[in-house]
Amino acid sequence: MSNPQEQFTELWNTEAPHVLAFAKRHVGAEAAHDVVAETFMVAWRRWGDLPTPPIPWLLVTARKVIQNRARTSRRNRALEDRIALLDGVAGYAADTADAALTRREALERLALLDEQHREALMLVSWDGLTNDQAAAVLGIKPATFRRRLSRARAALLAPSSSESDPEPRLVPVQERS
Amino acid sequence: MNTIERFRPELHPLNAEWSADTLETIFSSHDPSQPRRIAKGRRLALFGAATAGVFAVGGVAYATGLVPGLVTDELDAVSPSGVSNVHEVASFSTGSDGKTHTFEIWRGTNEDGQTCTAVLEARGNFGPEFGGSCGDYPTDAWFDATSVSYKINETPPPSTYFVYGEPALDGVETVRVSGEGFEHSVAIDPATGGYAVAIPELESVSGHFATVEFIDADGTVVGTSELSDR
Repeated sequence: MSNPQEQFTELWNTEAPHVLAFAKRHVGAEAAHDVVAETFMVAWRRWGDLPTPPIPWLLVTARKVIQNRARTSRRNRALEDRIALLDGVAGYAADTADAALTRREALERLALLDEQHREALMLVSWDGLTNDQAAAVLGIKPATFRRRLSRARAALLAPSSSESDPEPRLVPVQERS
Repeated sequence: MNTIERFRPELHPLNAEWSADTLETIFSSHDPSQPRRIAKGRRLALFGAATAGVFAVGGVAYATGLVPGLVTDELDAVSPSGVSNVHEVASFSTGSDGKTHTFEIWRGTNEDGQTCTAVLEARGNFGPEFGGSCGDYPTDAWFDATSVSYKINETPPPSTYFVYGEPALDGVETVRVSGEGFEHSVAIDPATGGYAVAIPELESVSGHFATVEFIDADGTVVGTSELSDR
């Protein structure tokens, strides 16, 4: 059997790229590496306690690291910043005629979603988590997560909000836990 | 494949040099063969569910040792490990945007021995607002900056620096915070033993920027602490 350092290195090689992609869309490429390093530092301290599979735990920890790095009161990023972050990490697919949204449209609509619903979509669609794993990452019940995901998808494909809306966000109806 | 999955990011291999350096740093930071600290049990009395508009906190809650659930949630959100000994440090007010905004400072210790702080504006413009962080911060005097909440399409309001802490020295009744262009004195909160004071004159900090003096009832400075950005 390999020793803990070898096992951890294997985890690093497998999952660090996923955590890096997750971090990039929240803090940008430059700070994302620091988030990955800090996340795996915590993982090493807690080696032996990590669940299987470890990716939901790693993303929960990465979220906390990201929140912890924001030393000032929580602020919403400007819309342009959010689009830029998503644009920096999103892959490219051909914008075919039958596609519901072009890449630009999809990223803009994602950026217009409030953070809770955007993250629900991202965890499943980009990070490849199951609904239950994503619910664990967000610290909510699976049933609540499924409703949130459903509303996020509906909001994503809903007609654009009015340009005169002083708060240009696509906010789905209030969910109840 | 749904609308969003089409644009799933491609995973790129890590930079080999950065990866090797980071792993070396991680491995040297902790020896897994050594026993971990035993986690302290959480000893919190929850204040109950709170939502924007009905959230109400005040001296009575603090005096009886109750901790708002939102505070514990915030500290759990920013700490990689469990936070215990959560308590109020003090509060301070600012006069931003023509209104008085009050920020309460709560603090606890996580299982990794770090000090975790949550700054709560219970009556923010859009409901309760938080900022929080964990680190190896001094507990007698430390600083941070915060701002009132704002909408995403508005220009961000300026941040206000503040100094806070819990003096470990006996007999401290007043704290004086002074630096270039400012001097503020604040009484120790008798309910908490802590203090907090806004420094509106500070627009940024770099290097050493303030001295904190702990003063007893006779006006004698019984201790000092220096504040530096690091």
